[in-house]
Amino acid sequence: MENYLYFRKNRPISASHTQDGTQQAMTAAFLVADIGAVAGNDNINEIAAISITSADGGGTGHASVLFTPTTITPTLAYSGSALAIATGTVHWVEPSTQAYANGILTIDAHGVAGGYTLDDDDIITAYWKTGLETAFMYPVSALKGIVATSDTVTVVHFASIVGSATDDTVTFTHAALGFEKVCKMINDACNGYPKDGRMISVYDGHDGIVTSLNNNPAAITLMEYAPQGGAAGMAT
Amino acid sequence: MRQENYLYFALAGNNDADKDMAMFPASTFRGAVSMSSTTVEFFFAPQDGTGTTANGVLMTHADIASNTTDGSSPYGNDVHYTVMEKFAQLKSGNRANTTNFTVIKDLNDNLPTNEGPISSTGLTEVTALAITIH
Repeated sequence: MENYLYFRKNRPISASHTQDGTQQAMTAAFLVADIGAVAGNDNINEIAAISITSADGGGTGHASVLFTPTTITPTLAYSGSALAIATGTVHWVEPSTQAYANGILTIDAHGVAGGYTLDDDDIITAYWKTGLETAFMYPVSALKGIVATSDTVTVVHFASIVGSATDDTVTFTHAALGFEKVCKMINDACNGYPKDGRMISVYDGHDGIVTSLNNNPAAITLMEYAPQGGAAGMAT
Repeated sequence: MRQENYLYFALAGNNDADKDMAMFPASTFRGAVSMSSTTVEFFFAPQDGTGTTANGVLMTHADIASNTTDGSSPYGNDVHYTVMEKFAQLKSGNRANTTNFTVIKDLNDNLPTNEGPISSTGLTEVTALAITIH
């Protein structure tokens, strides 16, 4: 029997940004503290919903933008009703038609179906969901090794899930000199319940709360995942 | 002789078309990755002999309703986790004196009745499959 090592990336329930200008791209990325890594945080399919709170009624919503619902996902039904933007009102835009790169959302303007023209001081809030490569598991037999690349970074190598000659890697950022603690954590996950073969949650960063096996002894703050042939390169 | 589980997947439609079903030795499992809020793909060693591609079974499961008023999180939903965990349990479930035939998911609507493992429909959380073979 062997165990299975489960990991889930750092993501919050939601994160907000207040505009400091009128451009359609956010004037700054969401905070790293909120969403984990910013670089490469590009998958719009991780965004469950986007709300825009009008600061002073100055924005303009396309008629297809939804007006003040309580439900955000997965049952959003966008309205065809024209919007009357009022100060402090909340409007929801369809995430899949927007753009997202390196922690910055770019919203279509109101001339596009589902778009909303932003105004200064509007508050953009995104809600996260499970998305492409946000959660994954490997059998223990796929573990190839663990390497420290600095006193605060440890990289766990697995055999490529799609058969690439290059390993898939899971990179942990942790407190100084945490390498031994990461190694022990992985060892414990591999060798726990030796007669069963269970899935062990090694690291889980959901909802902005970092949880790792053994109560996070290495003080891990971030996990990044680099599967070879990821995204469009998967088997399907 | 090594005892090993064999993992069975079948789409709806009575196994009458290419890749309607597949069975893999448990030892060929390479890992699983979430693809979206409703899909997880499970990867296996390919059958083309190269080892440099992957067979894949994309499993579709329910999403979760969340709302802004109770603070529940669509990212914190654990449907994919449940699917992965149950898969791990089934994959590890081989024991002496059993058939080791393990249905992960069988969506056929014409299953034999009362014939042990081959009558199983597998994981209740999975609603659709897509099988990729290399």
